[in-house]
Amino acid sequence: MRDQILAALAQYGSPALFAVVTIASIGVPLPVSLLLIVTGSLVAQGVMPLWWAIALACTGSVIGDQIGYGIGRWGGTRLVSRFGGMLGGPERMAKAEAHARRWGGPGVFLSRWLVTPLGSVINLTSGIAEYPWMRFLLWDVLGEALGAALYIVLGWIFSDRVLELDAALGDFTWMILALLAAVVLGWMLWKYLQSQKAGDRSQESGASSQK
Amino acid sequence: MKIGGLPEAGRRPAAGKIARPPTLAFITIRGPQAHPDRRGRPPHTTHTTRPTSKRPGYDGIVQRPSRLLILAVAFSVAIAGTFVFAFRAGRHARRLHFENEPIRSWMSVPFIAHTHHVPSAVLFQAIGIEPQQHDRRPLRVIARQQHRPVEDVVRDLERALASAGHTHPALESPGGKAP
Repeated sequence: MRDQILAALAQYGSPALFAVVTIASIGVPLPVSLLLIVTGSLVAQGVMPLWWAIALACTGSVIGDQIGYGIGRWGGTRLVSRFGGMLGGPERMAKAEAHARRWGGPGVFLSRWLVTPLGSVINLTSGIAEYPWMRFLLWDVLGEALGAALYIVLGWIFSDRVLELDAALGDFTWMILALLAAVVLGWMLWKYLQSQKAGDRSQESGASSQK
Repeated sequence: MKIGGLPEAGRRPAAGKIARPPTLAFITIRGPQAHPDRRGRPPHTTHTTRPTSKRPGYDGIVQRPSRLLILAVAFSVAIAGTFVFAFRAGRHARRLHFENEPIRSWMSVPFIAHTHHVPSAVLFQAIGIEPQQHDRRPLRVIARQQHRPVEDVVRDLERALASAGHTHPALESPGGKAP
């Protein structure tokens, strides 16, 4: 699949770039980062201008993201009623929605270029949480423009090392995700230990007052 | 949610009454009906895993280590993952400077010529194609049109690149760039 997509990009250029980026942004797992890096290499070879490649990639991504958001927003209640129990029930879903509302903007922005594996999930949850569409669009355009420019310019600079660059960026992304998970889990661990300590202390004071 | 209780062992409580144990309390989730069942327990009385700690030791033995263990293991895995991926990213970043790009079936001849810094005409000739500036067919398409496996085409190109290394000094050292 990966080879077919890249072959289409090498042969057809712009239409293939636009189509693949749009489909991937809806949530279909396609190798978009490698595609953008190879696009950068094609820019360096003079196949297409830099501004055109960035504009096309950004537009395709934003359209795909809006479709993902729409699925979450208008099909979200059905999804929640069907799969809400699996995700921890209505209380937990309400909490997740509150989180999405609070951290929606920066979350959308960062998932466009830094933690890209979360992008399509965040589109969906933003729609389910009914995060304001104009704000979603604004953060989305900013993030996608930065993401497209970053990957394409990197591909342009390292145009003769696209495979190694993709591997390095892929591992870097997973490193960021693992680091985020470590920070969240460390915080949860610390809070848990604090609550246990507080519980022990209150038990001890209760026992001593009974005596 | 309401705090309810269990009946005392061996004694059946009177109908409609909910017996409350003197020492033990459990979290009760109240349902629409409020009649005790056959064993005298109030309906929807759930023996949840979290008693309100009037039994010292239970919480410490069953509850605390399991949650703590899960959090500690997940935290350790996340830390280990961070280091593993950082190491791998660093290794790939080092390779960016020292290794040539391998040839893949999705690449076109001009693409390979660009990544290896040789004139594309040399590579086109090596696979028996008239050099054209705008021929961006991937190798898999060329192989299909020539009725031979793509591995053959790749082998011919690698041979051409190796021989071009003698005429293009930049190709002799891995990662070297042509002027």
